[in-house]
Amino acid sequence: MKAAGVLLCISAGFLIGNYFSENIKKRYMALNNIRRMILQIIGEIEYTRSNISDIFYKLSKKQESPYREFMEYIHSETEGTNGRLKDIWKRGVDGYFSQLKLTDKDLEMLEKLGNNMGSIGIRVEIENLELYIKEVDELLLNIREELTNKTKLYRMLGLFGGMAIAIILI
Amino acid sequence: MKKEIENLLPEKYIDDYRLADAGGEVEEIRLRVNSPIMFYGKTGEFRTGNKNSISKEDLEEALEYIFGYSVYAYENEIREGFVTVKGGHRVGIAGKVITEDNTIKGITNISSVNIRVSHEINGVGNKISKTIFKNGISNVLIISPPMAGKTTLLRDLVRIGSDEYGFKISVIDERGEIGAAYMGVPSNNIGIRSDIFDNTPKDKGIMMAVRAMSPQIVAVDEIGQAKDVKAIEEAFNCGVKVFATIHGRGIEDIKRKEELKRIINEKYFEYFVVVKKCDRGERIMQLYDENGCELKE
Repeated sequence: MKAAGVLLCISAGFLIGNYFSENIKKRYMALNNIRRMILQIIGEIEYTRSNISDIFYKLSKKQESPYREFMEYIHSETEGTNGRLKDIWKRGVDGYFSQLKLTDKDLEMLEKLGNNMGSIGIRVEIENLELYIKEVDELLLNIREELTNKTKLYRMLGLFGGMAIAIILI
Repeated sequence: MKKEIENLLPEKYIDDYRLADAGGEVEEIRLRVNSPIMFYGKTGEFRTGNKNSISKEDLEEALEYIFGYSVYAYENEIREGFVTVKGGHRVGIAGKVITEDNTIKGITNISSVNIRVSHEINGVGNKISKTIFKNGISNVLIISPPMAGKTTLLRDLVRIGSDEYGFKISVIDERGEIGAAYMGVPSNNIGIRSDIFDNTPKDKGIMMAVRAMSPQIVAVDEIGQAKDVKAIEEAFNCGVKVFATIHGRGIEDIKRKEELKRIINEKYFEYFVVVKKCDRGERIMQLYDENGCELKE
């Protein structure tokens, strides 16, 4: 009975540690996917000069969930001119990306991107998107460091925490 | 079509448009900052009961819809003062013009918008097409002042030539007003044997079409610049016939245009169609031969 309890505490501690380190990985992957999506948008703007609605429709076919649904949403809302782009964009980010393991700051940064989108000339439009990519690159660099340092740390903390609880209980 | 126009207006003005266009009469919609929304039809200006003035924010919202949330996609058109939106409707803009070295760089602080509703009328060219296609294909120049219906006639002649007479036609649609293509596919009926070069500059499009699509006819809207005329001459030399439109009040008016003088005097065009709008708003079409003599049915 005691052995089972000890095992349970250690496993639970390890799993909690693992959960936190997985969240970092998921955040990294989500930001990386958003980065790729924005790069594709830049490519389409530069090459085709199509409008936002057409670009999002075309690119939605190449995405996985929830990025595909996000792009389809932006396409359908802009196609039907259902309000200002900054509002449509915010609704899309809230609706499709809030379930990802992004931080509030990540979401805020993405929401801000929609504020200026589509309202300026080609050069500034691309510069604006590239600036966002730069900011994401910096975040990704930090997360990569976190991944190597904190993943192990979380797992070990979880493991030792579990062991400590087990010892106390014994 | 109504939905396309509604999509350009802020929500609070959609009911006004619906009311004004109940009989399908609206030809122009004017949005001006600090003025009420105004409509123009065959009989002139008319208004709904809405006396509220359009605010700067309302116009900004409308502009966002008009530019498809993508100003960058319309930079060149904005410089010229108008854009063509989905459905082939033309939207004119007025505001503070930014110039540099005597060249227009853009328009900012836009304070007026004029939405010109495009009408696709199949059959408008039926009558004159019988003469134009009587001896096979001919070069045709459609002449009319703005808003008289030259693009509508050109579109219908393309449809008739393609569907009923079986000609391969390349449509050079620089402003998207002939075919109103959406994602490359025309939304107006331009016939089953027509190929569209959407958003393509006229001079480049004509030569691209001649080389790539081996057309029997090239259709092009609003020629006037020397480079357009040069491209048309090259098409003539390749044995391709041309259907073109130009702004003007009549043949004499066109003859005075320096760029066109030569091709008119050398009688490249076998037919001229002059389109006029009478006081009651009806369109009158007059057909002339290469010598400028009116042809009566």
